[in-house]
Amino acid sequence: MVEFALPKNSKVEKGNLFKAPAGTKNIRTFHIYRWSPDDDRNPRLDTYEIDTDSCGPMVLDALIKIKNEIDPTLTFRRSCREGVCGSCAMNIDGGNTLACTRGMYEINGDIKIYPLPHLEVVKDLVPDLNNFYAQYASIKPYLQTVTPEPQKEWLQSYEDRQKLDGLYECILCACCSSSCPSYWWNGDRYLGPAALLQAYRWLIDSRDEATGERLDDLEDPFRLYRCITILNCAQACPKNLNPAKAIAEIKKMMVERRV
Amino acid sequence: MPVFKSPMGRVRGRGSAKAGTETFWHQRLTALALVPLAVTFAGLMISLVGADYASALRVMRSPLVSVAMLMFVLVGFYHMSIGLAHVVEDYVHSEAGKIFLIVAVKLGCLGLGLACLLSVLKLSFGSAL
Repeated sequence: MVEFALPKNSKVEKGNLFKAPAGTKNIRTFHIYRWSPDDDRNPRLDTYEIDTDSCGPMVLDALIKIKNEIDPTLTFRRSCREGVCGSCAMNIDGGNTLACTRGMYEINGDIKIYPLPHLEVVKDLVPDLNNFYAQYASIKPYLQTVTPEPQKEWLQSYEDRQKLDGLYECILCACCSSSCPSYWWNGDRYLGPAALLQAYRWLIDSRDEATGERLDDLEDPFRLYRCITILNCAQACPKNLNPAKAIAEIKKMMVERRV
Repeated sequence: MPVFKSPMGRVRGRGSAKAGTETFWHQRLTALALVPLAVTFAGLMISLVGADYASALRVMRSPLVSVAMLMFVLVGFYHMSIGLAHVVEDYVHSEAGKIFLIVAVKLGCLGLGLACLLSVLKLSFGSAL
């Protein structure tokens, strides 16, 4: 059955408090989920007080400050720090988003940070994305053709290229998939919004010649039809994409090839 | 027991069932049909509030009303069976429990639907009072 409560060894306990130095004027308090596979302890919520006068404005700036100056054991992924790589996806203030594009000023009160929900935790804010990446690879995210490759290039009209807008921008941060209850309950069989958005990106690419095979692979009560369009994915996407619409378009293609 | 199956192996699993579109299409069609049918049913029930059995029977015997009620029952229970089976698939993960509950849902909806159909037919064709 689906689990609505955390197992005993996953219950989050009260953690350590790292106070700001005396005399600090502007303080923001961060509560951050901590868990390490190296000991048998339960996860805990550590509290850090940050001097915002000596810190950049984004949540990622504060995390980097904590790691550099307060607690080097804090573990998280980050790379581009400008919303392009998708590495720093995490649950901030109750919603999945990128730490690098989320301003501290956008959040009222204490800032709570957890790893992306319902994924196995590798350590602290680092989730295991192996299944997520395998799902992406399984939709064959590349051009498939039967026609011999032209000498110069595959041509595409301006209008057909425009159809890919709103799809190709996905950075595979997993904010959408890990915000989706259908993905939480059946993430092993349901492909999830991110993989399906990319599946649609290749389904409507005018140059691709494997549309039928792609639809065959997706036509499954679990792979595709777990989506019931509750739109959590569109709300979570830090790039303002709409995976739910892409999934609805795939369902439409499925029906259209039958009726 | 350690599991050595690769993530890709798990995702590919037993492949696509090549099914689900018909269920999805039927769910949408029945949802659409239920809008006028449910409104008709609610309107009929409200119009019969306070009516005695004889006048209710007279209304139910009108062919138009009978057909509307038969359609409401058929479409409604079919829609319900699709929706409940979807809920079971979402939340029940033991294979045995899932199959048992899906069969129970389908048979339960069939039984309840047939009982309602019979009731409507009895009102339509049964002897007066």
